[in-house]
Amino acid sequence: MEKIVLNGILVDKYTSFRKVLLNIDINNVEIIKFCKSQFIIPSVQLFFKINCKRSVNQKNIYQVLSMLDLKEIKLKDDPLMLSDSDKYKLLIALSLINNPSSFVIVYPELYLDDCNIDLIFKIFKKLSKEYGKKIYIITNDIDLLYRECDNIYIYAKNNIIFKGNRKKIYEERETILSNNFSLPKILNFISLVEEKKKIKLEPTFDIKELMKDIYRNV
Amino acid sequence: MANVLEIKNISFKYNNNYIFNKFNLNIKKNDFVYIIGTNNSGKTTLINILNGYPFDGEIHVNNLEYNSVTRQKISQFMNIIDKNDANNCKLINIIDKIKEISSDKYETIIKDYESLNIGKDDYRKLNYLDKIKVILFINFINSYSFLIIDEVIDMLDNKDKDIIYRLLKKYQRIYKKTILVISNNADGIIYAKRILILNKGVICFDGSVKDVDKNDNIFNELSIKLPFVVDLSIKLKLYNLIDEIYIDEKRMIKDIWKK
Repeated sequence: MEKIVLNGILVDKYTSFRKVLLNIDINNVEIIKFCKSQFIIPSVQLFFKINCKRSVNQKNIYQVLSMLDLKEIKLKDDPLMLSDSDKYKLLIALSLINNPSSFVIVYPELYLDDCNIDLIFKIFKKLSKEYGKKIYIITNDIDLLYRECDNIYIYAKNNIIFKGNRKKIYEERETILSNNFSLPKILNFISLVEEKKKIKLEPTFDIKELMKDIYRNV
Repeated sequence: MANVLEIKNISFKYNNNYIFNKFNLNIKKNDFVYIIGTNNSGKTTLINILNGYPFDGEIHVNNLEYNSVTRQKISQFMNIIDKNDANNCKLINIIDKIKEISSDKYETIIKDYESLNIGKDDYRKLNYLDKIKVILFINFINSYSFLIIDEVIDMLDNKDKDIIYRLLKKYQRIYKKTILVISNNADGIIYAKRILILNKGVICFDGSVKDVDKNDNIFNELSIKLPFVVDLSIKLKLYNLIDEIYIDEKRMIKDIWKK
């Protein structure tokens, strides 16, 4: 049977993710998703269970909590009283403690502010670089993907309309736009400059590089 | 202009920790206000208070004191749209619902609805994000004069966000609504007249997009990423390539290469 851990809970099937999961080792994947309230309480309860009953290194748990800036959370407090962002970060902490080979993070931008998104991406990038973990982000925020991810898949109407690294996005912008999808804002601007002024700016994900390029082309 | 919402000295605490301690906020009628709240800033608590959580202090909505007796009356003109509304709503035929709400301007409104590219009539068959778009649209054209939108627009992609914000501005103008958008990011500030930053239960910025560059230290300290066009404007201003904060990329391009 396929095994997927969703918010720390083992589930038999989660079909909507099947299309997106692609080649992930399905036996060892942790999905971090937090949309429905029924997932919150069990996952937090599971966290307490791990914390209290299993022989997991307490130091490890507090290290993970500290990494996610969750030190101030009193674990004995009512989990329902935590803010949405703390609940989401607690799910991430739980996943990190379970130490799977792949992580699927679903819509992080809905629950975390920019500061916390930067924090978790720093952690997951380190896990990817130093420990070879695979990190998959599912989001509607194309700017976040373009800024942070090496490879991007764009799904529209149940099909993959784009597959490749972020440099390829600008080359294939016509296909993306024709599928009623938007480009990252920085690329949209570069595309508008080309269309309106016939000036070709270098596609980049760094706004400072864009600024220098504009300066050179004015 | 009179205030539609007056929050006077409200205090609220969880486990002896104050989320709000003598918090004040006024929102004028027909204004479009955007509150950016970092994590743990108190934005969900503020919504919970407006949904009926007990608090110390006073809240007035359209000059009516907000309490358990007046809540029913206030809910006739104030509506809070949150992420759960899409699943809780039981609209079946969307087009009929639009006709019912606004039969006199049906032709014009239906064109705006079509711009959302939803297509199907049966609400039950829609995916979650299309449901969100329907709920927002239905709320824009109905009779509520004060709409509070809690993090709902954040769920959409850039293209849909842009369409939704433009429609929101249009219907705010036509129907003279007051709009309060609450979000954990600054993506929609270019559409709002007034921007507030809520941090740890305190308003630490109150101004418009034009005031952002003078106060960009507040945004930097809280690691709030500015919308691309505003961020680029601030940077190009430093290079003397432009001399104002733009909210429209096309106008910005025209002005950069005009010099």
